[in-house]
Amino acid sequence: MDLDFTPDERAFRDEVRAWLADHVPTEPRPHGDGPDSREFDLAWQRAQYDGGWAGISWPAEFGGRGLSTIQQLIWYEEYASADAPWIGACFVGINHGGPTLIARADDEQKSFHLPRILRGDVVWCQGFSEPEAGSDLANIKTRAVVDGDELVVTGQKIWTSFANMADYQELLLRTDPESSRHKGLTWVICDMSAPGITTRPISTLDRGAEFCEVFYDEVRIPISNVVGDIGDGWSVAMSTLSLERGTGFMAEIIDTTKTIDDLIELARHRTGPDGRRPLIADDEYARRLAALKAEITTLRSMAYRAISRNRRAGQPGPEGSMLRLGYGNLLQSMARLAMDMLGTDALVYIDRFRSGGWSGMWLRSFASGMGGGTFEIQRNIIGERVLGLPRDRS
Amino acid sequence: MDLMPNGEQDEIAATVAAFLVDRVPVVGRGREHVVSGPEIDAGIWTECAELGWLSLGLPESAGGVGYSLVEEMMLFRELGRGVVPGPFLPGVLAAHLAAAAGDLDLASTIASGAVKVALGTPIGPVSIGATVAGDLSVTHVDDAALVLVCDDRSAALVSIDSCDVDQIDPVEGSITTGHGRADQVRATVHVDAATEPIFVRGLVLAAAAATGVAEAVLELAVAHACERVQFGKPIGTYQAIKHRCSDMKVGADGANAQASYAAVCVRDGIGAWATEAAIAKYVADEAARLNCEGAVQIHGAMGFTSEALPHRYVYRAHLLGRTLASRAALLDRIIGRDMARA
Ligand SMILES: Cc1cc2nc3c(=O)[nH]c(=O)nc-3n(C[C@H](O)[C@H](O)[C@H](O)COP(=O)(O)OP(=O)(O)OC[C@H]3O[C@@H](n4cnc5c(N)ncnc54)[C@H](O)[C@@H]3O)c2cc1C
Repeated sequence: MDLDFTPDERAFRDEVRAWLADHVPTEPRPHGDGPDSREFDLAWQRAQYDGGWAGISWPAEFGGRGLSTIQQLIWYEEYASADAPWIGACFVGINHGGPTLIARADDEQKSFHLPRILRGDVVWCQGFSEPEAGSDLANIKTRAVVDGDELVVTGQKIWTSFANMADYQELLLRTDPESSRHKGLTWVICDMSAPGITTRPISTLDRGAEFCEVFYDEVRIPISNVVGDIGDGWSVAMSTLSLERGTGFMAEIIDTTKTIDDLIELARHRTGPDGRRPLIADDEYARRLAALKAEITTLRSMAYRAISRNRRAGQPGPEGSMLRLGYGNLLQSMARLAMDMLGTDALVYIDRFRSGGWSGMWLRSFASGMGGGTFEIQRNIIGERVLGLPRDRS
Repeated sequence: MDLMPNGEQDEIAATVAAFLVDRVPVVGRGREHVVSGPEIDAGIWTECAELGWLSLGLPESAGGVGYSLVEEMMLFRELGRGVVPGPFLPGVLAAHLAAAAGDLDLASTIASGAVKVALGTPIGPVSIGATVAGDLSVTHVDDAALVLVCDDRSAALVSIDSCDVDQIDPVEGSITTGHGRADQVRATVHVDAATEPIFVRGLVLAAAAATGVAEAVLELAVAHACERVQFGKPIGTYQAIKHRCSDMKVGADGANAQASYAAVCVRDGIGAWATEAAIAKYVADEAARLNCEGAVQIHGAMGFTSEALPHRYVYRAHLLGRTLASRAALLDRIIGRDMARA
């Protein structure tokens, strides 16, 4: 058991820190999820690629650096301390789309898509959820019929983040009309510019429009875009979700450590409930802040352990759900505390990307128990797959 | 960087666990077992000392096994899992203290188990140095010759006879406990935290013990939830039970991860190691308390008996949460408020 970094890893950290100091964008990410958000996110991804920092643990033959998950961790840590922007529309491609391709796609698919994702040429989105298939993902109804060397897709997805600005999509379909549940599904790369696709942005509680409804009307997708085999989509989708729940959140966990430090700093300067002393002198606030700091520090330790464990196992396990659940809960209690600290100053809306954007962050925190599987679904996974408690569903 | 135990560390834990199951089983030890007789069987205590449990982290030059706080942390996790009685925590800390103070004879006598040490948690302000003065909550009183008193600035050993200990009827009946008062008592040995951070080591080891409690009591709850059938299904099928177990698992895993991280930081002097240790203690105490509450509830009326095991963990978590530092004091340390006030 150790926390030692090798000389190479330390040199890597120095290099990363120096580069970030010179290149992190100084203007905030535009809120609102329009074309300027897309441009901002892609430009920043491109800058990282040009600097040689994209895809640190991705294979070198597809444009990555081919380094270890430890170097990836170092990157996240330095990224957070440099106050670099939220990954935004690049989330899907970088954190689970690309990694799913690395794990499950053929060489042709990898050599076409991975460099484009890394270079910041394209935005990816995730088309899993449907109106009738949320937590119950196996209830997917959007169907595809094989016609020669193409799939013809008809149906609807919903809650697809960044669908209106995406170039490609992880699309989960029912290819066998006779099948039900986990069988007969297929994971396919969908070109979002294909004829027959329409998207309708849905405005959100936090004044954005991150996700969309997506309609497919006889959309033709080449069979060569299928990742894994036709009918094997459930297993590929499970790879995607374990990546999304696991190390995909590492960067955000580390970044939140900084946000909590900011909140503690705020408590040192804001006047507390007695109207005289700073908030930090108030027992209740000081201890709630301390508990929050203890919780985020513990999540960091859990993430370190997950990285150590995954390195031995070669892949993320169901333990990722523990990080996901712990982190989601923490975001909500952090946001609630910020609102309590600010009193009537919390009445003003400031989006979460601007400094002082606590109210925007609070509004956003309502979503932290939903994406990638709700709190309840994560608890089912921990109970059944980690603890071995009996299942109650098909 | 690798935060998982290596093969040797896993083996130490497995050996300890096997010994405990064999020789100090929790099962069958009712509350009555301890309230009268000695806190720990003399033969078992000597055997544990001979196995090196009191000197695991002492350097070989001081007569120890030569491992570190990390291996000690893994030992204490097992001691917590087994709700083992006996003055292991003050014994290990006192051996370190004596060695750091240069009294190698005393260090090896303590490590051999020949001299038992009690633990004095300060009640209110206690001055600790060449002389010790103040009120103490003393645990592992039984048969002890010395009391270890420590805070974040220094640590000292004083003779137990000079502390005027009044024994109480403790909630955790397997650990002999009392209230003591040191009135300007001369320390046998003392050392400041800059030389040897005894208090911080203690936080990590107590955190490890609480982690063991949190994990073991969760295992009891999960086993019961798989076995007990109501409404035609094992109760673990129902989400009210399943989800509570999942939350308990997140707490226990967090406690274990943080105890590991803190042990490495203190061993290697990395980062804000004293704060990491305070966080480890706080999250482990929380997990132990919440998991004990959950386990009792999941066992139903059975959980309220002294025939099922959860009550043993309830008592131990209660004691650990009041050992070395309280919840509020830990939180104040974590946010750096204790300094501001002092
Ligand atoms: C900000 C945001 C971004 C998202 N982005 C995407 C995306 O890019 N791509 C995509 O495919 N999806 C996306 N989603 C959708 C997300 O995956 C779903 O919201 C989630 O899986 C839950 O499905 P649902 O919303 O239909 O809720 P439901 O499944 O209808 O759940 C409603 C409530 O019932 C509970 N519930 C359901 N089943 C059970 C059960 N078995 N036991 C106990 N409780 C249960 C849920 O926990 C929840 O509280 C996004 C969601 C959000 C909020």
